[in-house]
Amino acid sequence: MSDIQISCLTKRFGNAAVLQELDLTVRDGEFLTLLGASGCGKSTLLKLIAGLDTPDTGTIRMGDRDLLALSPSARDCAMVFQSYALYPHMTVRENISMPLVMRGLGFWGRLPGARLVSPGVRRRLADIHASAHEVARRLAIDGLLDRKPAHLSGGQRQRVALARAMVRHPSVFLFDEPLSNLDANLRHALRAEIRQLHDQLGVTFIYVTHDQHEAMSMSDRVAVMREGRILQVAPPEDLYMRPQSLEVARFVGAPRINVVPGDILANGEIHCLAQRIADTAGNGGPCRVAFRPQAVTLAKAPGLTVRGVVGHVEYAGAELMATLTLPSQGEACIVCLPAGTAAHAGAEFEVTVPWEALHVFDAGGQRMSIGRCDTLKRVA
Amino acid sequence: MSLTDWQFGATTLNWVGLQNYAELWSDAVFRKSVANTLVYLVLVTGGSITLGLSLALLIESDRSGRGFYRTAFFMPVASTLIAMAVVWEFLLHPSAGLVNHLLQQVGVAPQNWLNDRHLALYSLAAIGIWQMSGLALVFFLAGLQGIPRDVRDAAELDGIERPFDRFRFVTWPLLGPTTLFVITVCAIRALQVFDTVHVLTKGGPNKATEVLLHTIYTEGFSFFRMGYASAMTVVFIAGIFLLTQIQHAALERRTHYA
Repeated sequence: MSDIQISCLTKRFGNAAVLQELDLTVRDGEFLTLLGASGCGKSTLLKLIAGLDTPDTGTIRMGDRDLLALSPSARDCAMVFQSYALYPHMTVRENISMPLVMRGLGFWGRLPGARLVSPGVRRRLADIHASAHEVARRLAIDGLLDRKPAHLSGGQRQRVALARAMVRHPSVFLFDEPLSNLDANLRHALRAEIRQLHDQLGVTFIYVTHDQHEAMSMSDRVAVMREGRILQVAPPEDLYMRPQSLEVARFVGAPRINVVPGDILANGEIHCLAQRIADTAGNGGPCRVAFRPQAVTLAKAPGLTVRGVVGHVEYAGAELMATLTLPSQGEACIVCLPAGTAAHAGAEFEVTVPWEALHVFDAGGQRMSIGRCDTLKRVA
Repeated sequence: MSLTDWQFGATTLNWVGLQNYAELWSDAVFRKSVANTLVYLVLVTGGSITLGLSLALLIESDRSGRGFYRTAFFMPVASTLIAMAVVWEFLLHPSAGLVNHLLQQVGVAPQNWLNDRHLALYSLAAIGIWQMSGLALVFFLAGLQGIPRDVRDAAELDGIERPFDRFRFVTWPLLGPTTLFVITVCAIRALQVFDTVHVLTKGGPNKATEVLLHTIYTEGFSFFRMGYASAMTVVFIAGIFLLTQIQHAALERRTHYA
């Protein structure tokens, strides 16, 4: 067991490049999530690691083994699919046993009558069924072993698929949106269970999802993908607090991060909404200033003042989501306010974004390192 | 009508009860006819399914030209069998036929395909297979397409990698409902065989290719024994009904599968 090194991986379908010279290192034993909108290539990447598809160029290595030279079953990866992908004609026990049957019994041993003829086959089959039972017990589905998948609920089916993956003790688990077909409550419960499983097994998990809550709540690290590239790989907290690009900032967090235009003067001062917010070593030009709806405060704190006219107000239990239209730019921002705040449609309203909650991106959308304005006085 | 002795054109009509059926039971021609029909049914159903499934697997493994093959093999199903029967008559002609000509090229003695007592039924079955396997092929292609990609992928990761294993553990079981459906469709159509028999052999030689529908036709419209023919028809319809019931059961199971 060791790190998985993916380098320069490219995959095309016809003319469309699904993955473009992608590099990624998955650390041994970590829970890594590939996060992206549908069509960004995350599932393709997973299939390439599993060996269900072959890349056009690039390598995938695991320690000193070249995974691309191995057949899917020899790669020591198990996969859990969104559609469960159980064998509909087999019982739960047979489903879970299948990987062991294929590995433990030879061609003759797998023939239908072999069990009746050979005591050796009978013994091995008994061992296999015992392992299947053990795994099933662990996932609390040992009462369902004689049923067929058609008679199980979605959550039970996914547990069976999980058991089928666990039974052969792989060194890497691959998950392809395993919870997307389940209802919200179950999704929540299974999320915690999968994370728990990871901590118990201590092996590498690679998890594909388009759901950022799933990604943020389960992973050690998240790789944000877009159009066949990886934008940023970082722990969830870093991703949220220090997005490396505007794309990542926009993708992570709900409601979406607010972006207002800013200017970098020739002397390196950054101005936004007619306020000096920071200094940079860079040259002059336009820039983008972003802040999260949840980062605003009503208190008179040092920071960027955002003043606008309240538009739509949405009540969300503990808080209000208000749309604020800024008069100067006509930009609409969404701000998250404590419940009970007197923000009425059509009224003027003012909030403050603390200095440390501001993100500045250059014209190309990359994060800029800025000198903090904490010590500066506002230039009104 | 099957309980009367009515004859076509006759003015009188007498109630005879189950006498027609009793006569059927001891009628050597009818027995021969039933036996022939069953042999034909088993041969055509088995042959069409084997051929259709093999072709479907071949076509599926190489996706280029799938549309062409599908059309090519489906053509016999769509074409008029009477016209095709005439073509086959020429192909199987003992002296001028292409089949014998080709067999001679590879050193096999020519056969009198349609007039040999021992061969005629099998020749007809071969034509039946030629006609039906296209239908089976199309159903199997659809069935193969219905096998989810994920299940194949999962199987591959589980170590089901060799074609034989894949067929045994994944493809064949998942095609089960399709196969049941194809069997009943083929069986019902095989039971209804009439056109090729009527055009090519007329039930001969020496009743060797006498099949149910043709016997009914002969009794009814050559010998004008309508009552007797009706009794046969009732038996025939009962057979079809039975097969349809099996088909229904098969379809039920198909819906349970997904």
